[in-house]
Amino acid sequence: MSHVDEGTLHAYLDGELAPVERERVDTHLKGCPACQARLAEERAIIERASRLLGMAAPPERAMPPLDQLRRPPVIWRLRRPLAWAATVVLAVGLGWFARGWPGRSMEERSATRAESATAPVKTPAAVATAPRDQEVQPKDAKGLGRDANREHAADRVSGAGVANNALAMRHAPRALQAQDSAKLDSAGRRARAELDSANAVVTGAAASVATIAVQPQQAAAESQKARPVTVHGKRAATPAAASPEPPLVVDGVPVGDAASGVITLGTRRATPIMSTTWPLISRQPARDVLGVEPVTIPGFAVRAYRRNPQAREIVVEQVTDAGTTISLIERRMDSYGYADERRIDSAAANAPQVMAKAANERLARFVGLLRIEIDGPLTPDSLSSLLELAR
Amino acid sequence: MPDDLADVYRTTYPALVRFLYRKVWDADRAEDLAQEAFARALAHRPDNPRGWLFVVAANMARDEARRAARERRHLTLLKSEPDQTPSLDDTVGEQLDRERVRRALDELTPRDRDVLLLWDAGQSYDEIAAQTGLAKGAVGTTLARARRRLVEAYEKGSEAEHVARG
Repeated sequence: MSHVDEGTLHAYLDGELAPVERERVDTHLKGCPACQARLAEERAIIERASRLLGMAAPPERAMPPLDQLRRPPVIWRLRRPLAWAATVVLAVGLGWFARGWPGRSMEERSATRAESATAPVKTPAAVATAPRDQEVQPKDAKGLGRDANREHAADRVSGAGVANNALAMRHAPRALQAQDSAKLDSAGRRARAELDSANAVVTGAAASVATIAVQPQQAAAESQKARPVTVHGKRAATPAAASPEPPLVVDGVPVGDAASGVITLGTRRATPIMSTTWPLISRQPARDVLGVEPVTIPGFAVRAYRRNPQAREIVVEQVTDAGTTISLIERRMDSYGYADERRIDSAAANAPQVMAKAANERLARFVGLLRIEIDGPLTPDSLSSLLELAR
Repeated sequence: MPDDLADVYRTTYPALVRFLYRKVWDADRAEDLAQEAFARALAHRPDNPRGWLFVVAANMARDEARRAARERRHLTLLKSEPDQTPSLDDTVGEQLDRERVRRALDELTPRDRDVLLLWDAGQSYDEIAAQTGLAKGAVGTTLARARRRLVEAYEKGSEAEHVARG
């Protein structure tokens, strides 16, 4: 047999020769010192090359579990840039408000609170405050009453309907809440405050504070168990009330608690929630109420589950390490769904009123079907991380 | 099938990261791409996941390299910036070694380099042949050439450095 060629030597050393061929090479090597020398040489090259490659190896790191590699739904990826924009608008709005809107006095606030403690709250879940200058025209497109007045820039969510993402501040005085609640309750409806500026994610139309063209959203498409979730975080420290200030009036009802600042992302609707007074339940009943497993934010201890006595709605209270309570308010999505064609065109002109009302709003934001509300000071960064967690 | 892919993941993921790393020269990016490749495999359920993964990974790395080159061209117009930031967790010596190996690999022809990297990532001659379009008999020859050139290029590069330093 002729000498063994280089490629065959490598295949031989790599253990990649078929048995027959391997035997032939073995036989030849026995009687051929030259090929033995070449074999040694090639072996050295192989080792050297492999060592060199080893020097250019990436650091070894843990492998993520395979099932975590499933890619997130497209909607999340689309949404991310918007979250950014929303945060920026949040900051801008806050600055704008802080400059132009003084807070209420402590006395006023505690009075309001005391009042609220005794006032019967019929529909704690959601109450929309009416814009002062607009008549509310409840519309019943889905066989459901409408009570909410919405002013916000929002486009319709298409398809999955997962696209509500919005910011709004609200912090309605409890008295108003109670009153409105009663009112709304008589209509037998609960307003779902829905901030739709995020629909811009899908449509590309960004909502801004000043331009508030409203197209309340119809959420009927998604009748499944999609639940809006409200994160209602309470910080121990509320911003100190500044100078007293005449209460605002919306529909004849005093409104105003500007102390916490206002943020709007083109949309706001008040939904005061008195979830802390709801009766405690355990997880199983909570699941029964929702029809699905209650959503929790991973990483935070669950302190309690409570049920809204008036609605198929629960709250999951979670506590952060810093002691902030986060309430995830969840309800069956199929308990509402509505359409509303109302449109406020002169929104820009109404901005002051809008902001006035917003003074009473809590920060709220939709991340898909998650409704996130934050009551208390929160930096945009914290908001972002909270939203990330919520996802 | 799912179990299959889980096995492939366990056995192949580190190799795929290594393979990609030597193409993109960024550990995070390599991991991202490897994970993306597996995510695609989960969606597509290819018949031969191992081979499929390396083909997909090679394509992604190529796209990545093109994109990086494009960006680099843009960036150099704005500011002069080093190609890559050295990671904190390795020593200067390791970085130097890696840089030399990288340069040596750059000297190989794309085919020689691919065959060498695939082999080093644990692919068999049969798999390499299937992926590169080479005859199985040619894989040994290609590997022999690639290894020799790598070693020579590395040594030449080191010598040049010594000369340069005086």
